[in-house]
Amino acid sequence: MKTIRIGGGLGYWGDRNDALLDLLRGGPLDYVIMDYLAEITMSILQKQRLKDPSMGYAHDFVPLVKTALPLLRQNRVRLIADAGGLNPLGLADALVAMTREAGFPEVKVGVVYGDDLMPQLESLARMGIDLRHFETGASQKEIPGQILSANAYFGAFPIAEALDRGADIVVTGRVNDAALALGPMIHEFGWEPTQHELLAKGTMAGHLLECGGQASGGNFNGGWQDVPDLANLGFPIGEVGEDGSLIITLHPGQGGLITPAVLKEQLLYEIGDPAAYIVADVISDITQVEMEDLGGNRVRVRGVCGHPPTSTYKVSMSYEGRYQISVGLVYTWPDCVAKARASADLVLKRLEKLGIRYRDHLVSIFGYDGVHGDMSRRAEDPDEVYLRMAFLVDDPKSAEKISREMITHILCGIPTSCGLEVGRPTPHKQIVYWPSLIPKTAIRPCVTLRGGAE
Amino acid sequence: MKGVALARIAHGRSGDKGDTLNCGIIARRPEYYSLIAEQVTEDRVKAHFGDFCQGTVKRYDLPKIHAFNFVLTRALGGGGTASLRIDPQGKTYAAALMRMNVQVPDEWNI
Repeated sequence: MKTIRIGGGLGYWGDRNDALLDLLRGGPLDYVIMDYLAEITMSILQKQRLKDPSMGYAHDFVPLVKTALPLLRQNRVRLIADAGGLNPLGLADALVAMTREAGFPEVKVGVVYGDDLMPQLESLARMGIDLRHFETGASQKEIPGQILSANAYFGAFPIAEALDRGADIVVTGRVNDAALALGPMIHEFGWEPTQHELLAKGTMAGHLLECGGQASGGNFNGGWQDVPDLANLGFPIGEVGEDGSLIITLHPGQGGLITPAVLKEQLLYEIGDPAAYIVADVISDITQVEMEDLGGNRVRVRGVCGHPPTSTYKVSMSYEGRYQISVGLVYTWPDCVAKARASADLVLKRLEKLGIRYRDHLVSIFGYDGVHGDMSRRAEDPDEVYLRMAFLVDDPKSAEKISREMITHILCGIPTSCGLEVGRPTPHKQIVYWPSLIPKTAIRPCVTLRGGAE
Repeated sequence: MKGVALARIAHGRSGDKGDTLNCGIIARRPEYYSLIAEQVTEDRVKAHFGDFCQGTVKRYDLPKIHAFNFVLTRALGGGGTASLRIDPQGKTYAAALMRMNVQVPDEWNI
């Protein structure tokens, strides 16, 4: 039976950059997938693209691929990443320029795009498509701020098409994270859109790989003390068969841990109803999943079922919200909790006296109950706590005034306080999400190839 | 029977989708599964999170891996970057759930 090996090389933009090289050096692989796009990433990229139209993709992907290119070519490993963000064509051009300069002019870069709905918002509205809020049902017209980004989540078939056409590297805009892994399976095994069982198995393999080190012992709540060598954490590898069979493993000699307990945490990560895990290509049912520990950092996963997909793509829009500022001070023994509470009251009184208005606020006392509130144990008489006050305001000036007010409390307020960091905190603008659905007939993914020897 | 923290017999990981929180809870041994199913109910989880969860709690069971998925709506103070909380993505909330008290047989050596 034909089997391919896919490495999960990145869990988000900002994750360990050396994991890709460790995956390539550690042993045989056929593909590496890299997931750059969290919900928040698209709005960051949108801000960058507004300043400079040539931006809008994960710019550090290009130098990273440059470093990895000799190994990718030598080991015949193909790379698939959603690093294209809002400008996958721009990223592809930058990659082609880099590969030519680096002496690999034969490298072909496949591009999947068309997910960016920003240029299409008006025409979609004219077609009568209302991108209603997925949960509240509210009309798109009720979005209260400026729309920053709007992207559809494409599936794996466009990625497979790019590979069919000979791409060595595939970059995409927004696709569902698991599609990065399902794409090569479709390409290698010839899976059809109607083979829901196989597509579901491949999707859940992708789901296990898409968060990188979180599936090989990183952020493991079930026994972090037992995970060897997190400094050299090997990222997870999926061995996928053409029948959809799956073993998750690690390169030998690398840090990390692959056990059923580790994989169960990742399987359940950010999912809703386990009977209906919905992506563009298929609906997966994982309620009957089984895991078998084969020993030596090898776990077999089986029992995923599949159902036909929905008629819609998921859409994620973001818009600008209000301003947020968090300020705080450390208070020490004695009576530090009482002091922090008194200080919070005092700050609010001062804001009232100064006429500084805010829409909402939250007082938290870290070291006591600040993260988990009433769920906390609340130690008696702690040695020190951190008072954090977060405010929601309409304008940056109010945020600035709140920031200034807080530091006056070192001399004018409750005793035994000190700052946590150098300098004063700065406000940030909130970005608010608007999840929606769009009929698959309204838009279509585009695939093109760039580069390659003339 | 004796009372212990859920953390003694289970582990978990939590995450977000907008303002919705999910906590994957996994029995540390297969024999703990039915006890968790009996005691860690939707109502108890809702009460445990108190003000933190303004919406509903739904539990889904995965019997063959001895695990549960709890989905809590309106549980992240607005979610993403639109929340005033320190943990708007709910990364630490599975740990908060682990404080829940469960009654286990005296002879369980945990």
